[in-house]
Amino acid sequence: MTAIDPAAVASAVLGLDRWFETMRGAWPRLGYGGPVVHWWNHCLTYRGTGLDWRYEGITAGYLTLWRRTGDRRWLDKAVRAGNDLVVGQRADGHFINSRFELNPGVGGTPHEAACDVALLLLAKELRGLGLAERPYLEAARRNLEAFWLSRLWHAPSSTLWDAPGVPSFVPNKAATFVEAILLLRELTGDDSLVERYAIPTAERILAMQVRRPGDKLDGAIAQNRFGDRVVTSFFPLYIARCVPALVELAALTGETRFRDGALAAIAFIARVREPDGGLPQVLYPGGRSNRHPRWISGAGDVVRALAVARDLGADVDPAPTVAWLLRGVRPDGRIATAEGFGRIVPWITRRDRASDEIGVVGWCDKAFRALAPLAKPELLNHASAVTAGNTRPLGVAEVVR
Amino acid sequence: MLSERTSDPAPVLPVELRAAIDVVVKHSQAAEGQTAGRVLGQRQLTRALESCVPVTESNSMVIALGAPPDALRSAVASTMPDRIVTMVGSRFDRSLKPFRAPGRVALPTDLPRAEWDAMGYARVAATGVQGLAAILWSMGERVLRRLGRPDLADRCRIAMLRTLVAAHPSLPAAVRVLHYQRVTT
Repeated sequence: MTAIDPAAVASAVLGLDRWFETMRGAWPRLGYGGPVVHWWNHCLTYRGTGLDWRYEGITAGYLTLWRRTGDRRWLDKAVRAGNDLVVGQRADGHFINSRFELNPGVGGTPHEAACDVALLLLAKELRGLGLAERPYLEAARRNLEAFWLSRLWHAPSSTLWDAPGVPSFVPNKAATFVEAILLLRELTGDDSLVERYAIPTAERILAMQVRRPGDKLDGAIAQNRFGDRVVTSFFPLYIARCVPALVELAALTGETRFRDGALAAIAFIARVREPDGGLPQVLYPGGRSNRHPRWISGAGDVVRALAVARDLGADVDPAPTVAWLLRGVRPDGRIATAEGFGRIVPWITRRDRASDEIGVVGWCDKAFRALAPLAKPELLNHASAVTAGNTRPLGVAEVVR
Repeated sequence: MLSERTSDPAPVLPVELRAAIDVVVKHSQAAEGQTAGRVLGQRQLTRALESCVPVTESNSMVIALGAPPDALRSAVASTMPDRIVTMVGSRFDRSLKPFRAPGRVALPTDLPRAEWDAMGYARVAATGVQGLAAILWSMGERVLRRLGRPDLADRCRIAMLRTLVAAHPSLPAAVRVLHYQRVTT
């Protein structure tokens, strides 16, 4: 594996922590806010709190830092993130403003499942410490039962639909759902969740995977399908987000087909990765692609997938993509979102170059989660990262309900 | 304490109306970024605005989102605001109706200019949303998808979204956001 500069990683992690503090707000509820830029569209007018997938990486990252350093203040920040979600959950189980680039609104996918992952990771950690995990576990369970299992799960076909009443399936979103289900099973001991939800969903994901040895797209997973019509767009980032769920499920069930699918997906990602460590935005059949924008901060999820696959013995090196992430670090601590928004559609999007530089919490969380395990504990002097203002982490006992 | 109105989820709007709400925010914000005014109009639109930005009640501005003409006239007469921002439809919008999803909010057209003059207001800014460019890109997307070119179709879709706000206020557009100011003599 190529060497990664530990000082640069630690500096990036501390910088992100500092920057996250500046992105906290109080409208319409306490939490992490800010603008969002994305492939299809941006959300620049609504800049209030978003309870979406940003919480997944923030919570996981802070928990990793806590475990690596034993510094209680990192745990408190993970708890504070969990509190944002618990307080921001509506009576119907949804999290407020969970639609990321489509905010404001509720019912965002995979965002609400990603919130559940955050809550369940926190609950698992707190249980291990003998602390009260119940509010977090119950909030995740409420959302999973009220939304994912009651409204999106189509029992006759054992398929997780992407929208209530719409026969559609999106593998990367379904993978986030699988991660949440596996965590819920771990915390509740309900093994039937695996058989009923996780395995059929993972099977649907594998059914969308291209398996044509020698083809550039071999191992790639199609973006989505409506009914039987598969949308043959292949986004490396979203394919990477399928990998951890497949690997976890393989480890739990011993079924090698899930492991093989994950490794094939990783081989595809390694094949299309560019020499600088970045990845094209999307590939299509026939050798066509739209290269831009190339995610920078969001590539953290690619690093996470590569690391998981390497642990399985895959001959892949996350280092070039780690270096790609680190090149995006900016003086205020954020990591730039992308490179090439201005090149998506020549002439039309040329003025959109500013979007590259915008710091988006829901992209930076992915870099944070990927870099946290790589940072040397002795370089994580938390004191330098704590900022003044209304950012006092809340304790477990301060959960409002 | 937040009111239920504020914490209510925004309805999912068609892209052109969502873009128009963004334009309304831009037109109605004061220099310090605050939006203060009396909001009236169709519930789906007013909720969308109030979910996007905090709106403080004030008589200095009326924000009329697809409001029936009589409601707008009444609000103007009773508050005599300094500024009025309206979201209205156009003849172009009506011509697109066969292509719209059923149940989409129907927007009234603007009051006649003579009526604005009589009320003592002059238009100071206008922005069109979903003009010809966005329509053409949308058509391009459909054609290219059918021709088996998802790569180009995806680019057309992005171009459609990025050109939702028309390049010039005088160009035809389905939705118009108009900004009026009280004329002082």
